[in-house]
Amino acid sequence: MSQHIIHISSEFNISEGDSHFKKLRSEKNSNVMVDCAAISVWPSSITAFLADFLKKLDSRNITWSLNNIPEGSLKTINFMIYRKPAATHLIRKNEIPIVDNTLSWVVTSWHNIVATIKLLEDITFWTLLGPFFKHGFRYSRTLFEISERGMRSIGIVALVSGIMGLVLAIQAAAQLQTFGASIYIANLVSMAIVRELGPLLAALLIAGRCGSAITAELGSMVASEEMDALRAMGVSVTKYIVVPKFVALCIALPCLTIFADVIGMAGGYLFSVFQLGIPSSHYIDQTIQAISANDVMIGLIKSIADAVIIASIAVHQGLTTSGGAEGIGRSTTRSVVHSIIFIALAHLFFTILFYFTGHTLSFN
Amino acid sequence: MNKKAIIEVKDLVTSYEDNIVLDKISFTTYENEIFAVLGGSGCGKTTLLRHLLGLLRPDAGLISILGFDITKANDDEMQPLREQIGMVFQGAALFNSMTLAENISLPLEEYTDYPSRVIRDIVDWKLHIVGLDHARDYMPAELSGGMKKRAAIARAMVMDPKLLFFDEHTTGLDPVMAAELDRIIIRLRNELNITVVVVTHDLTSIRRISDRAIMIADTQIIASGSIKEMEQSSDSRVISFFMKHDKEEVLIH
Repeated sequence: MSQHIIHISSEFNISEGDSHFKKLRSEKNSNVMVDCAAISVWPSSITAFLADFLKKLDSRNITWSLNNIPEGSLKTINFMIYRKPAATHLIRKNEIPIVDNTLSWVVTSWHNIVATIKLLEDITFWTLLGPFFKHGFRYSRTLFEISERGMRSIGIVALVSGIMGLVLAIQAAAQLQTFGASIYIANLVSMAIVRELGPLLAALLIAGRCGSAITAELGSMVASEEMDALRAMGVSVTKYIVVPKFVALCIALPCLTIFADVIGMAGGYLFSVFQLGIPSSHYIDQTIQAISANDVMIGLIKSIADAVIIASIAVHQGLTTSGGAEGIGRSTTRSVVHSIIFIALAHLFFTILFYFTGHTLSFN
Repeated sequence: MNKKAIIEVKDLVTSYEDNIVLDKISFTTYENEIFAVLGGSGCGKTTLLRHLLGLLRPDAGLISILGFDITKANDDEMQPLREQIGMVFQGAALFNSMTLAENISLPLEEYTDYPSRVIRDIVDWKLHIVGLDHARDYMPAELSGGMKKRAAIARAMVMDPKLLFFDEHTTGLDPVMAAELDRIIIRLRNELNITVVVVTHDLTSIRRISDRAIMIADTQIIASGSIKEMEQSSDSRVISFFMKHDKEEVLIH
């Protein structure tokens, strides 16, 4: 049987190989010599195409030989054709059934909550007792954090709460004007903002603006071994890094809440006075009658609870970050999402509590 | 020789989940020596180091550092020991929000009552030792990799520790900088009479600085002694480690 000779050039590709292959099959050749003399440069693509072609020949029991091929390329082609798949020891546990998945979600959530509470113990210790130790409390850092977390959030809190006050007044006006009760816009706006919307808006904005920042900062510190460095020096991470942020949030958020209350009510005032023509003094009187110190305190209690929630979740997520840049992204997302969920739950809890205790605290 | 033992590890066992990382490892490090822990990637070198620092707790076994058993000690009990140990992390682990001088003075401000001018003197001296006098007010992000490593050494040295740990101290450095770092380590050992433990896979550097070494592979110590002694070993894994690294050097240089 005669030997078939194929000359290939550097233009050789898969379709050319296929056409050669079809031709060989139809002519029932069983012996081929591939001559590569025309190829001067051997990029991996040509070796791979050639190897692919030769594998097809092997599958049809056509014997082949290569001519004028440099030794290096021959080695590459031999590797591509005859290599054994690398043994892998990795077993990835991907396929967990849904039930198991839900269960593991519950278990992890539980672990997270327990760990966060333990962290809070430590934080409380250093916050309350730290100032009595030598170097136990970082005052200047705490001030810096207050300005960084609190002062710089004033703009966005003012913007959003002002708009919410305005929107609330407009919505209320549409309903109340039909009864000729426009003056009660003052009651509605001030009550809604002071008791619920002010604290809620401030908390959500801070969760988005500061909770995420804290998680990302701590997460990247974990990733770059800075936390290990602190521990190796014997400096408490809670004391040195966490407490300033925690205290800063607990101080900044109530302040921002009061600020949001004022701006929100101002938004309602602007619409009522300049659009509806309610006399300014009348509106202010009505507002002062509507809200009491009680309502403000209820708002503040909510906002302190929110601050604790945001700070502890952000810190916990930051400190448990693992897996580099991707991990930081994941824990930052979780930090904001969990914060928002627990803020909503906390507001629900307090609202129900104050509903059943008759909307009052014993402050008056 | 009757030298004082600084680190004693006996039958240390540790695991991540179901994987045993280190299985019954024992070794001793003596005073004023540069001791190297060798091994390929992922053999548990860094895990061992984290155990020696007390950042991880072993499953079983005993680790005694400066005559103090750290396997059962809690953080409060570890405190006095930590002031005598310095650690240089792989990525330097400087605090990015502080200047170099603040980074280095951190342990001093935490542990001592020195007035700020004294702290400043000490910090400037440590910076001078590592050749970073001009960089004291830079932020870590503004420094090159080699400068960060040297700054990390300065920070580890600031409390005048008796024991200094290095994790992969030559990683990411050019050969000139790596050699400079080796010189700094030898100088610190000679002048300040400290014990140095280096965890690495960089054989060039180890040949330059180490007195004794152990090599870890497959959860066990497979060779120990000086590098010369190790090269005589008949264990195929040891031989292949030396062969591979020598070949690598030929390729690079």
